[in-house]
Amino acid sequence: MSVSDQIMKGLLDGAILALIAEDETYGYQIAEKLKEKAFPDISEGSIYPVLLRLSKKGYVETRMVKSDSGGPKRKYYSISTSGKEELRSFKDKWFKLNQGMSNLFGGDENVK
Amino acid sequence: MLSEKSEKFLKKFRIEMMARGKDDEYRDNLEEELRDHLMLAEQNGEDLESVTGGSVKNYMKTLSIELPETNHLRRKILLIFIFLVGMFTIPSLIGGDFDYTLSMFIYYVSLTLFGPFLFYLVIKFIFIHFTDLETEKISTAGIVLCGLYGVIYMALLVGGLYLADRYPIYEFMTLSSKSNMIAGLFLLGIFVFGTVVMGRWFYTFLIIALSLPELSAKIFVGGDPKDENYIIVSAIVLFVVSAVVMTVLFFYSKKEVDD
Repeated sequence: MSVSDQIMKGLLDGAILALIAEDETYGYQIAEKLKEKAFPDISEGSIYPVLLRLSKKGYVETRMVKSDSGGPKRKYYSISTSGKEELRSFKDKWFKLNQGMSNLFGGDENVK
Repeated sequence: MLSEKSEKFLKKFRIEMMARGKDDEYRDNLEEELRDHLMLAEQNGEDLESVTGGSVKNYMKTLSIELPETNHLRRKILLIFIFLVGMFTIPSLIGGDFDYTLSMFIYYVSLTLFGPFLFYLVIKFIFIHFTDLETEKISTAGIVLCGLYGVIYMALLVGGLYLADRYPIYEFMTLSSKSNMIAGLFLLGIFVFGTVVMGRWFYTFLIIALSLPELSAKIFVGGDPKDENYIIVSAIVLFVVSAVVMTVLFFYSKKEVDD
């Protein structure tokens, strides 16, 4: 896996956790919101390994809800207390990293 | 309603997860979740490829590490092969005619390293390609292939042992019959202890049963394994042991059916 792919993988965990923190949500909705917010290079199916990982770490809680129209059950995700702490830590690191990288690249023009 | 293409993807995906021994609850939940996602995606004009990439195998690779296994298929296969090595080694060590040759070394290393890997790959291939998508049962062709593969595999194991015995290439050392027997009994002790600790009583029983013909011939007749009396005693015990094993297996399977 290339360095940029590894960065994206780490960021996707934080991004999805942030979306779940906004409100209880489900897989398709998360994928749609990521698209809306122009999160780059994401295939919709790639959110599920992240959701499984977040769930295993106890950062999110889940519940299955039966469909009224006879469709499949829907799995809803909400953030847990440890998830909130992790998100705070992620945001803190992200802002520092963002600042550091901007300083390093010397602004947008030099990046190009 | 989900498109036929997506429905087929989900079934193949389910079988792939089963072949990898993934936890039932996770498997059902994930399938349900993907079904929901695909239905919504199709309603909004998206297709299977945009959600999963289209390839079951590639998609499974991204998820596999996050999904816990329940039946620990790979560990079980590895244990069976360690047991097979013991099964081929211990009786001949106790008998005193074990050969410490390069061929035998290559044979046992190949059996332990490549055996489980090859076995797992072929069984997984049959499971994935010959499972009926509707009933989730292996088709007749798959069962025939399993049987055929079993015969070929056993032929390879026994044939390999025969070749290693016939063409030693290089002899490392020769141990006395007594030293071989002590090594055999020591290994038997380890196997019995290991299987008892793991609670695998059937394997404990089997390894003792397989060592018993050589062991009893050694105790009651002693001497050379090629001696006529030795062969007669070990053959009689082998016959009795086989009858006992078959009886135990028969009653065990009958009990399972009744339950």
